[in-house]
Amino acid sequence: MMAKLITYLRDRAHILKYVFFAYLLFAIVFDYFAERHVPHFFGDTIIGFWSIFGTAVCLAMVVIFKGLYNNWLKQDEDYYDK
Amino acid sequence: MISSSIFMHPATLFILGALLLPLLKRIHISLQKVVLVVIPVLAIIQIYHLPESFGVTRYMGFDLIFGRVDKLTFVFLNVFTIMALIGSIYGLHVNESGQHMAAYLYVAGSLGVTLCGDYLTLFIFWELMAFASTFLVWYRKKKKSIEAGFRYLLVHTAGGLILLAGIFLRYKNVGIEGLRFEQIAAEGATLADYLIMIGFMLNAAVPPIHAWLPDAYPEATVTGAVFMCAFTTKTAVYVLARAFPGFEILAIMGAVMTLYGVAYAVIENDARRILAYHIVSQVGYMVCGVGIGTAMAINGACAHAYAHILYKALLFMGVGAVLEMTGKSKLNELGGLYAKMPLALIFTVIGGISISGFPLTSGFISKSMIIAAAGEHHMVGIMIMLLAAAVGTFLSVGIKLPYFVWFGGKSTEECDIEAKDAPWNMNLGMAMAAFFCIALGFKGHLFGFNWLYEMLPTPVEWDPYTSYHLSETLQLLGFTGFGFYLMVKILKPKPYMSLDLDWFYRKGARVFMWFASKPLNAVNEFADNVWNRIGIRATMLVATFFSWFDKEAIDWVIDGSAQSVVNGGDHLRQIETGRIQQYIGFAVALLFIVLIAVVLAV
Amino acid sequence: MEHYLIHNTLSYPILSVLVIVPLLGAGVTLFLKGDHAIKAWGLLVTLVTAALSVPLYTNWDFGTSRYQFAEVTEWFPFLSLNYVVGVDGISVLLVLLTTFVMPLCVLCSWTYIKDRFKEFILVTLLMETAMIGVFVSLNTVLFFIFWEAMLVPMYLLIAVWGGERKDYASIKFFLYTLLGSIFLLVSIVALFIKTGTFFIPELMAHEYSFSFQMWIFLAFTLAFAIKIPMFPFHTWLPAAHVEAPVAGSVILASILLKMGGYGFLRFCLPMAPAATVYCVPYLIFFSVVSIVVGGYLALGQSDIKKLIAYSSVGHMGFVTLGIFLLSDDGIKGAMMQMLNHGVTTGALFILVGIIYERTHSREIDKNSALGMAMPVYVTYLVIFSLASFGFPGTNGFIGEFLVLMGTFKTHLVAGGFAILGAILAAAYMLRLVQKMVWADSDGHGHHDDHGDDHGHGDGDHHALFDLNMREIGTLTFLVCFVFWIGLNPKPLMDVMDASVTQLLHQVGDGMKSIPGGEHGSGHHAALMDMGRQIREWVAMR
Repeated sequence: MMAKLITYLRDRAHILKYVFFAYLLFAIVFDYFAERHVPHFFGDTIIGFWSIFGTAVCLAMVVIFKGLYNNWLKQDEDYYDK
Repeated sequence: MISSSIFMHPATLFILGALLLPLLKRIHISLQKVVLVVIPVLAIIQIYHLPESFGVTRYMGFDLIFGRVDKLTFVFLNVFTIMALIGSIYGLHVNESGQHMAAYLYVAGSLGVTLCGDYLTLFIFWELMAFASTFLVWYRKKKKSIEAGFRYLLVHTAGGLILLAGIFLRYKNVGIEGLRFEQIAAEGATLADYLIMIGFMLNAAVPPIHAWLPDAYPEATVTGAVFMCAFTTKTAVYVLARAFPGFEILAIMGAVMTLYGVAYAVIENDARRILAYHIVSQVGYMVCGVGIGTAMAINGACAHAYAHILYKALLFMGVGAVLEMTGKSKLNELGGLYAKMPLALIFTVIGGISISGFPLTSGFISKSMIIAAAGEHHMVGIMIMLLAAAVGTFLSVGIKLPYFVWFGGKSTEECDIEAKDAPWNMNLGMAMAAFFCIALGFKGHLFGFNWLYEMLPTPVEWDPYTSYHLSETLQLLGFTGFGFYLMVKILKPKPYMSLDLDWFYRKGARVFMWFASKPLNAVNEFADNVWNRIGIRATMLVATFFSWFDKEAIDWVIDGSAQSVVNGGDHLRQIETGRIQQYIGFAVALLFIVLIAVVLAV
Repeated sequence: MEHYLIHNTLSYPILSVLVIVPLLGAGVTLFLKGDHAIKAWGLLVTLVTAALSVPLYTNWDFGTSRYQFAEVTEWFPFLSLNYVVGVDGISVLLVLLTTFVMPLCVLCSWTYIKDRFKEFILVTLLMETAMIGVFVSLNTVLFFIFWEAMLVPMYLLIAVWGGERKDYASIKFFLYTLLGSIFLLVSIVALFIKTGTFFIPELMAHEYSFSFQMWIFLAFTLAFAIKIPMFPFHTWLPAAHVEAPVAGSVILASILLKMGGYGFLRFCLPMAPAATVYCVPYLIFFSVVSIVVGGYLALGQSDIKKLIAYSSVGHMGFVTLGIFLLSDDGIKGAMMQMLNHGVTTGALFILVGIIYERTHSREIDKNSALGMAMPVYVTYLVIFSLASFGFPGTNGFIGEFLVLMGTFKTHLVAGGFAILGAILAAAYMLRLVQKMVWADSDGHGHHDDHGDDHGHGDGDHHALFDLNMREIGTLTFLVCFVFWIGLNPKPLMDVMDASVTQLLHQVGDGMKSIPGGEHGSGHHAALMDMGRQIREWVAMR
């Protein structure tokens, strides 16, 4: 039963994509209306700061960490047995 | 007095259980299963009735305190016993009692450490934990697991010895009062305190002494890993919280840990290895909270430990179910399982959103406490690091893990792995953990987050559901998802391994061993043979000289008597029969004669 | 003389009996025929000796440091050379160790020794006499006679029933130890000339000049450092252990090595206290070197017996470290370590003997993948390995714990290196266990449901049958001590308590009246200071 539901959703992936983007928009709009507490640092005051933070950090992480991995840390699986 | 106190201690329950299990199994297998469920339930009830202090006894001149209960102790006891129950249920299908024995002794060790009031008791249970958990790795019985288990035991023994050194030094510095397990002041901390801290940090998997965790956990048994992820590291968090709150170094190292763990989680290929590195990251939050040291930070560390045990176990259970049913755990070999193992998917996703801190889950109400504590303490750099790690968390465990295991761009028809949903007990275990993950996200005094907050050491005046906090979280997580969407091709896992700091004692150890077996041994052998060549030759030379001196010089003086001794010796030799037993017989007889002579002379 | 001794009040002269009974047993063996009779007789004699030694513990007076169960017989009063025997808290435990280990030696040689069994039992029983004699003598000449009497049987054990290089190993052992004994003799004679007596307690009470103390201290130390063995005099041990038959290795490891420690405690510390205190830094240095180098060398071995031999060097390093800390923890820790090492390493050598009988090889490679075929054996192996590197709960932990605790009180750097040595000990034992229990290189691990009963290592595992009842009995007896001492060491520590305190008194008091000016006042002051510290430690108890 669960399987059917998930397959159903997967087949309608393009609809889910639109739902997702609508959500992203909603999140930024929500931020405009949210009450703010005492700011700890500058980012607390900017609307939509966390959206940019999230995207930027995510992209940075992927690039940097995968970069480190591909150029240095990546080894064959039996590296220690050789 | 001591005898009744023994039974008050929850660890006793688990030790007795461990000893009983193999016997019960012989009678009937279902008896073992019943006991596996009953014992944790009894323990859960027991911890609510513990007195503040019990089980004090003297051993070799030291006061051993087996039971000390306060709010900090209790919150950890609570989650440990609940986890013991969930883990036992998850492992009901395993018939081999040895695995359950190891798990129970492990839990007993953890409870012992949590309840203890002095360092010596702590050390004993600490070593018990290390030893028992090694078996959880060894029981997988694959060659890699055996080797990983030995490395694990060696690393933990070394850590235990460093801890012991610190305890001894502390005893020397402070005297017998220093052996009580209490908070240590940050100013004036001595080498002894830092050694103890290092011993604790090893179990908490703080880099650079963390590598044992991603080395051993992926090699453990399916059910063993579920236990291991919950106990060793969180017990270490408890002892750090008890002894070292407010040590700034911990705050910094904790923040670094969060990013370090997440970095490896993003690049790894094996599902359980991702989760193992991720433990490093999440424990970083707790260590950081302990380091910040304010009431809110400690509360946050405890709350996060509580929530983390449950959702990390849930994640390990989900991925473990896949491993159990398919035999695979590498992401590049999996995918398309969404229709074959939907329940595992749902539960893992619940775990994933909890760990990422979605609203209405346990992560939301716990992780944020630490971040807010960092903010209020004006540690902005740390706060940013923790938030960045939250991004990485969602990325690696919340999205990447379930996506590549259950989807990975393959549809069910394309997936050629044999799989079906896990047995009922595994699903029940997962359901229980998932229940907590969701329930703790809701307001409520019965299994809601207020229930958890009331258990925390200091009263909590913090509400997680502020609109700003909601907004911040919704944006952060949503846009991380967006980032994943953009980068999904780059993130595709490949079957490689990544180097970590254990290189030093793995490759490095080979150099060390080579040195031990070749050059050092050669020097030793050489020194050995020096005696042989020079020593014997010198002795023989001296002997020859004396013999010559005897025969020529002295004899020439004393009329050849030495030569006659030699000749006489020849005659004597003819009497000798050359048979050892007769020699010995003569020696014994001679001794007898001497003795008789002595006695008679008296 | 009398105020040092408490005379024996049992119905039989227990100490003399313990010395004589094995000798008598040896005598009777000369007339026995047939391997079975000889085996049974050997076992009987050693068991009887063990049983006869039990009253030593049950009738022990815990409150006194005087020598108990003493017997005095006049021999040559004009030389003040008498037959005096007695035990104090230190020697009684070693006597008990000896009497209880010997039956195990006979048992483990049951099928190991293939020929000349009569001579073997003879030699073993003679060794027992000599060893007990060493521990109970209160007269230096008597001590020396028994010390020398040990050499020939041990030599024979290695030379007749040993391995391929037995001639080399036996001669090396004999000459090395003999060299040490010569120094021992010189010291004894010197002491007699100085004081006119051979009686040990009086020699202890006498005060000597600092330079005299240094000479006898150096002489004694050389003798005992060779025996114990301390780096750099340890090289005879691996050869002797490897080539000796299993009973020989057990006797060597369990008892003979302890004579070195006993010698330090009985002679060096009380008779040359100022010299001891002066030389403490050097001896601690060599102890730590023994611990670390012994551990490191053990790590690189491929021969199991050699590995255990080097591990003994490491453990004895802990013993000397404990002794030369000159503190209560240190000496008690050293004593416990000696007893526990006797039990644990004896058991390990028995285990090696068992597997050697099956595979005829001492190489680790040839003895791997035993886990499937011999689970009972492997269980014992694991337990004794854990005890060997001092896992909490086992007996090995007690000795190491006390010594480490004592070290950290005064010598931090040495403590750090000792911890390193302890880690090395864990490493080489775990490595040994891993390789022996599971297959080494590219073996298939083990198949847990196919019941394959030979391993896939390189070994030729014909006839890998698990332990028989005799072997299980021997090992179970030792395992009981592993846990009993590990969890409840107090009875043993109580036995030695009074004597250890007395020893520390002697060292501390011996510092009080050193005639100054021999080597400059600064040096003298430092020694007085150390002596005062020791007296304070003792007073604090």
